[in-house]
This record gives sequence, C-alpha cells and structure tokens, in this order.
Amino acid sequence: MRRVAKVLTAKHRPRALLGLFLSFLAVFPIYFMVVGSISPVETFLRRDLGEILLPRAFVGDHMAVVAFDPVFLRFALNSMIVATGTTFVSIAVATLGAYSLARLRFPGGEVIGRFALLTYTVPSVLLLIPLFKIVVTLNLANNLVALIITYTTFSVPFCLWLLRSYFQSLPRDLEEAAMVDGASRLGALFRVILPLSVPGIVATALFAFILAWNEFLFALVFTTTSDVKTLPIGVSTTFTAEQTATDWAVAMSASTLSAVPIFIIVLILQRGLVRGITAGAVKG
Amino acid sequence: MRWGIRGLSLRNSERLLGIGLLFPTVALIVAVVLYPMISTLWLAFFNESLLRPNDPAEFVGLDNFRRLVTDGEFWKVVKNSVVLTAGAVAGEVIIGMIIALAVNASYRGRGLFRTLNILPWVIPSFVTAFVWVWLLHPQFGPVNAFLQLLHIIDEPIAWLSEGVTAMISLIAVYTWKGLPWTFLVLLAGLQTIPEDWYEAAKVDGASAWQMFWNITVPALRYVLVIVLVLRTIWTFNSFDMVYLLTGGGPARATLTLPMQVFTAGFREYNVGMSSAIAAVMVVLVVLLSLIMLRVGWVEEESQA
Repeated sequence: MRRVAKVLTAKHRPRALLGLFLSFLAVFPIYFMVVGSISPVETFLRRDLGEILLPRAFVGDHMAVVAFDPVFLRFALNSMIVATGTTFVSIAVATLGAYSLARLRFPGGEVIGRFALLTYTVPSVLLLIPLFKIVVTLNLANNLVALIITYTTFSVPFCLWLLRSYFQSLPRDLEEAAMVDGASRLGALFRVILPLSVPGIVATALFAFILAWNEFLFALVFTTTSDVKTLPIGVSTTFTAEQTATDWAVAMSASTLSAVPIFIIVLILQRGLVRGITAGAVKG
Repeated sequence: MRWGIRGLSLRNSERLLGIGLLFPTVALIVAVVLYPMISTLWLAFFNESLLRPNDPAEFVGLDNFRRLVTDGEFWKVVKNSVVLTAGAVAGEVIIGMIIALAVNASYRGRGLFRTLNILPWVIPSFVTAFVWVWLLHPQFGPVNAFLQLLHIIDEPIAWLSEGVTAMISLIAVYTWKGLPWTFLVLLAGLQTIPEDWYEAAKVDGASAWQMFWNITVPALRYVLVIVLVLRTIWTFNSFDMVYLLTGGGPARATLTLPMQVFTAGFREYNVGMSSAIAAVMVVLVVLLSLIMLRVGWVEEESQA
C-alpha cells in the first residue's frame, strides 16, 4: 500500500506544484500588504520585485503612526463595539430560532426556515432606503446602534442556518434522556444542548463577527462623523487623502492592523473555518 | 405522553415552544428584511426625495421604470454588471476547479495550505481594495513591474484609469477574492467522488480529459450549480469593491447596478429611481438563479 501511495505522490507532484504556485498568487497581495506596512518606502519607489519578495530592511514608523493615532483607535473601538454587539444579538436570537427549526415540529416551520435562507441572498442595497427611513425615524442616524440593528439583516439568517445544521448534527437521545429524567424541553435545551453546543456557537459567533467587522455599505450610509465611523469607512476616507509613497505605507499599515482580528480568528478556527465556509459561510 | 405541561399534550406544548423560540428570529427578519424589501418594491412606483421626507410621495405608476428602459446609460450599467459578474464567476470556477483538481488527494500540507488560502475571502473588502489599488499603481505597482520584467507590456499601464483595463482589473480582483470559497466548495465536492470510479475508467483506457467530463463534471453537477448561483448572486449584488476601486469610473465604464442604486438614493436623493433600479436588480437576480437551477434540474431528469 505504501508503495502505491509513493507512486501516486510522485505522479501528482506537478499538480501539487501548480497548487502551490496558485496559492502563492492568492497569498501574495496579503503578504505584500504586510511587507508594505513595515518596509522603508524606498523599497517601493525602486520597484525592485526581489526586494518586495524578500525585504532587506524593516521600519516600524508607519505602523506606529497608525497604532498611536487616536482617530484610528476610535475607528477600531467602534468596529469592535458594532461587531461584538451584532454578534451577541444575532447569536441570542438565532440560537433559539435554530433550535426550534432543528428539533421542534410545528406547521410552517420548514417554510420559515427556507425563507430565512433566502433572505441571505437579498442584496443589501435593496434594503438601503427603507432601513435609512427606519433609522431616521428611530432617531438613530449617525449612531452605532443603527449599525447593530441593520447588520442583523445578514447576520441573523446566516447564524440561523449554521446553528440549525449544528443542532441537527447532535443526537436526539441527548434531550430525550434529560426529558425522561424529568427535565422540560426548555430545561433540556438550556442544561444539556446549549452547554454541548458551545464549540458550534463559538464558531458561528466568530463568523458573525467577521461579517460585521468587514461590512461596508450600511456603515457608509448610516454613519457620517468620524466619532462613529467603523474601520472600513474610517480608514478608507482618512488614510488615502494623498498619493505619496509614505501615505501608501501608512495606508498599508492601517489595512494590516484592521485585518489583525480576522487573522486571529482564522488562526483560532483553522479547520472549523473551512467547514463553516463550505457550509455557505461569509458572504462576499 | 405524560410530560405535557398544564394539561397540554406533549405535541401541543412542543408546537407552542417551537413557535415561541422562533418568534424573535421571525419578528426581526420581518422588521429589518421583509418589510424593507417590500417597501423598496413599493417605493419604485413613487416620486419622492430623501431630502424632503415630510413631502407626500407622489404616485407615478411605471414612470420610473419607463425612464430607466429608455435611458441608454442604464443599459450600459446593466451590461457592466453582467460583464463583471460573468467574468469574475467564470474566472473563479475555472481557476478554482484547476486548483481543486491539482490538490485533491495528493497534497500534504493541506491544513496550512487551506488556512492561508482562505485569507482573501475573509479580509475586509476595503483592505482588498487598498492593496490592489497599490498593486495596480501605474508607477510603483508590482503588477506593472512584473509584466514589464516579462516583456508582456512595454509601458506601464494605468489599470484603473482606462475603461477596459479598469473592468479587467475589477474582474481580476473579484476573482481573487471569491476564489477561496469557490475552490473550497469544489474541493469538498471532489472529495465525495469515490476513487474507484477513476480506477475503473483508467482500466477501460479513459484519458484524463474523458474522466473529467464523464466522471468529475456529472458527479459535481449539484455543487457546480450551487457555486454558480451563489457566486453570481453575491458578485452581482456586490457594492463595496467597485465603490472603492473605481467608484464606477472612469466615465461610468465600471458603474454597476448596486452602485447606481446607492448613487440615485444617496447622492441624488431620488427615492423612486433608486428603488426602481433595485427592483430591476431583484428581477435579474431571480432570473439568473432560476435559469441556473433549471439547467441543473433538466440535466438531472435527462440522466435519470
């Protein structure tokens, strides 16, 4: 058997190399961004490709400019508040809904489940004007709460579907055993199912966090002053005013720092990330 | 059936609990998705300004749609959206399939490989746009430097400042960002195909190309339809990277429908026009998905 495996590997080596090359193309722009944020600007003015691939010197100036900029930190704080708030609201609402869809039979449940999946393909621009009117009516214009409310439009359907399939993967015996022992259905949910679902709920929460952290359109429309702007709007309006190389190095630093939470989540989730993504995760 | 509470049978109490637990989800979706959706379709028949919210909206029937259909510029925007979506989805599926076939069953560092490759899909789109504007920079961008090094081009190209190259750039960036998802879903599909099928075909003397068309593609039919439908809808609906990379320019050459909905609503404050364009978008999205689902189903029937 081992010999067969060896022959296969040798034969497949050119294909694996192709895979490696294409994955280099996938990763290079991100590598370029990180290198760009810590390289002296001269590197880029010289257009030396070798030096871009293997930089010879590093500087921390551009990173420091961004990391100690109170405006940038304000954007980061706002992003953190909105993404965390959206995640908590979505998980709280969707956990109950997903359990109901996964386990409890009642008329219309299936139809509602399908409809919830469909709302995940609704274009955000379609909701823009009515949501704007709602936000203005509630007196929430230019307020982070408006973002949390509008982000649930994509976050709740998304969490609902990930959690539903997670609950469906748990054996039914779990609740039934608890209920035979005298627990109510609700008691079984809170004392047996939810504690067991912590890994699935955490993974779903991290996905919801990514979606909210990256959101652009609603933030563009519903926030106007820099004290409530999130990173996507704040950084893209503040850090590209000029076109000099130094400004670009600073922009690359701001981009890198804005993506740090995403990098961390990718590292935490690893395999779970791939599984979640192939289940229809993270809308582009 | 003894566990029922307060005289209700188990069946009924489960129903009540089911409805109760689902209620917050449904209420929220109705309030922030369903109501706004219907509201937009309704507003498409009115003339209203976002700047004067207290003025009564004036019913204008199909006027907004009539203006769109007779406006040559609007059809260019539709064409831009279709070109961008078709280009990016085709690029993702073709390249994604090549990588998936290449790494399937043979690649060792698969865990790390997958983790790194997922990055373009999950980083914020504004970060993607920033990096690519710099990569495509006419003077300092590595893309021009690389192409000049290979003598593919003689002079640096101002990628985002010419109509055609701006569209090509957008397609490339969207392909780059969507590729990880497409690749992973195709790979997951490939791994469900039993190795025996290929072994049997090899014994019968089938070429790699024949195996691809007669084993891989039919086995991946559903996965391919799902990938095509979802990527088409998501790319078609996408606003942020067009806005950030080209802003619809130069001279509206890359203006897409979502950009136009935003511009009509929040730059020109024309609620009716914005809603009418959004309504057209929904029709196109529904049509696109119906066509593709139909193609998948028809094939299924002819195979059965």
